[in-house]
Amino acid sequence: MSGNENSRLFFFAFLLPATIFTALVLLVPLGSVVVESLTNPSGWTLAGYREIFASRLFRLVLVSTVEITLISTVVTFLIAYPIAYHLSKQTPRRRALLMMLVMLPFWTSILVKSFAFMVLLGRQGILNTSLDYLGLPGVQLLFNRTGVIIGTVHSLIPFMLFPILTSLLALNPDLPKVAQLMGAGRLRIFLTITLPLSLPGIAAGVMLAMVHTLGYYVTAALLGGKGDMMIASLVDLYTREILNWNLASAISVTLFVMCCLVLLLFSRSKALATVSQSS
Amino acid sequence: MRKIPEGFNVKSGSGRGLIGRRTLLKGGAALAFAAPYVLGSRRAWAADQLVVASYGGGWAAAMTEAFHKPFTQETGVQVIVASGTDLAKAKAQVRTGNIEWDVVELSAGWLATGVLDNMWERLDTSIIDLKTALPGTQHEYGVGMCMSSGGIGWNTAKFPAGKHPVDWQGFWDVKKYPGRRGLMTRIAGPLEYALMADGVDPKKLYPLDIERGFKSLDKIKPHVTNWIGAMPQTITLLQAGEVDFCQTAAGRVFIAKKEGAPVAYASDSALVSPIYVSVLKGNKKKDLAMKHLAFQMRPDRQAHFAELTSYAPTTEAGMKLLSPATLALSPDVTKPGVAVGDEFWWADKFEELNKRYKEWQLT
Repeated sequence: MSGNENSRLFFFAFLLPATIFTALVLLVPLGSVVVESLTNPSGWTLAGYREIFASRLFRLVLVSTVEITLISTVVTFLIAYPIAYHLSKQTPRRRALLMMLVMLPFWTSILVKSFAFMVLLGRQGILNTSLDYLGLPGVQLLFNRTGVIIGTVHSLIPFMLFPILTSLLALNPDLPKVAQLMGAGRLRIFLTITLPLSLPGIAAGVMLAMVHTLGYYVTAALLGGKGDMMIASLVDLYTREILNWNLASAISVTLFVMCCLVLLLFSRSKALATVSQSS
Repeated sequence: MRKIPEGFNVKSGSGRGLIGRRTLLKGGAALAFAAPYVLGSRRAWAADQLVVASYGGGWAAAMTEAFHKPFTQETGVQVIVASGTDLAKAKAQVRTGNIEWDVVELSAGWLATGVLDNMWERLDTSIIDLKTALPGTQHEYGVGMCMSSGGIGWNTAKFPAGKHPVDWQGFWDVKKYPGRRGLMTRIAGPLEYALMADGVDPKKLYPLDIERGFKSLDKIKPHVTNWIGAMPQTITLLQAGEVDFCQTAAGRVFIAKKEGAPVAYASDSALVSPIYVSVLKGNKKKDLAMKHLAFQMRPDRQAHFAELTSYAPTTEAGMKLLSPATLALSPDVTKPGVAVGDEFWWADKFEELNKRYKEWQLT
């Protein structure tokens, strides 16, 4: 009993520096944002929250943020799952090499990527000039919702892919073999064994993708059109231009609560455990 | 977040990147930057140096060349340029009493917003001589050290003379000048342009007729393909051919042209505003900071700055020192199509109107 307590104290000592660091750089500012959102010069008030929820602009932006988040997450899943499946079938050495390619967008600055997208997908970009050369009509892929989704998905893929890959690699390789011996076809093996057993990874990937996208806004600001404003850009507007920090904080706290809700939604699944495994 | 003071060897950035000084694209949670000021800073207070919060890039290099270096030569006071001037950071410094910036370069609207928040020191007119300044360019809480000009830009490689609009009526005339338009997501500017397009006399814009302005904006809305958040992006989009005619700033076009970009600017139909520089409230080196502001009002220094950047002097004597080439690019408030912006009209209306403008963009 006391030995158990001792080892707990021992581990706590190891965690202490990280805990203090997190408290200083995360909890203190977060606390001050919450306080700011609940105060104005005359004292404690909920006026900030009342104002944002009554604001039509906030509601419009909320809707577009949720739409962009959901669409990006689904598209990312559809792209990332086959890649993860393919990677899980490779030898470890080859997999490591291929994973580097997946990580590339992760290491590239969002600004550089946005500029690259303009060169590739822009009105006079490589794609549209090629289409024009072939006599085909051009496509508008930037400065609209499509552009935002392309940019967001591109940066989300690693977040979705790694948890799924972890799940797939943890899958007992004997199970598909046994199923095959029992006469199951490839599709059936996938649907009844592989897919259900990779669900924790999918949940983890979806969770990470959603939490990330909710707070994005550079992508929408650079690649989006008129209807593509994210909540985070509203925070920017109120913090830096209008200087109304009460409203900026109220919006930030709302965004934070939304992210917490997503985490809560997945907390019953094995998503969080899978995230810690894959990282 | 570049908060590290840069010395004289400020690298001259192109000032033409995808990113503008006004955007928070540098990332991070928006409010987190207040933390260092709350937690306290330990910057040493040397009596013989001043910290100037600047836009950075090519602008800061020109400021250093025209003002800071000669100031050091004459007074022995070292000037440290801190890139990334920011109204929210300035507010955090005043609020916590941790003043790191002595002199702050202001973007459009900041002077007025800051006056409402009591953020600036009143100018000491015993140190700063404002009598020689051009009328309408100065304020009791900030010196107007040069004039900026906003108007229409286009790509000269795609649109030879006569094929592009040269005034806001033309920008609104989509039959005469078919093409994609770009306007900015900040209402101060587009509302004035919309009124000028609708036939309001540029010399009698203020007080702005808000409803008439929005009605005029409705007409151009279907032809605006890009709503632009940051000024440098206007040049990028023009160069990439994403937009044909675009709201931009003369100074940006000047820099881009210098670097060989095929862009031009319609200087006869523009909105001209002073660029203000202020001193943060509660500053311990107030007198020294005022001396630096006084130095920025010197005609010879202003003229030197204009030659480097095209931002025109705010003193008549400074105007007289300009070369003919620079004079041609400088905003000329005597032209009938040139309006002078009034950020104090905007001060108490900006929040509401900007919100309405963004809603209007989203629907």
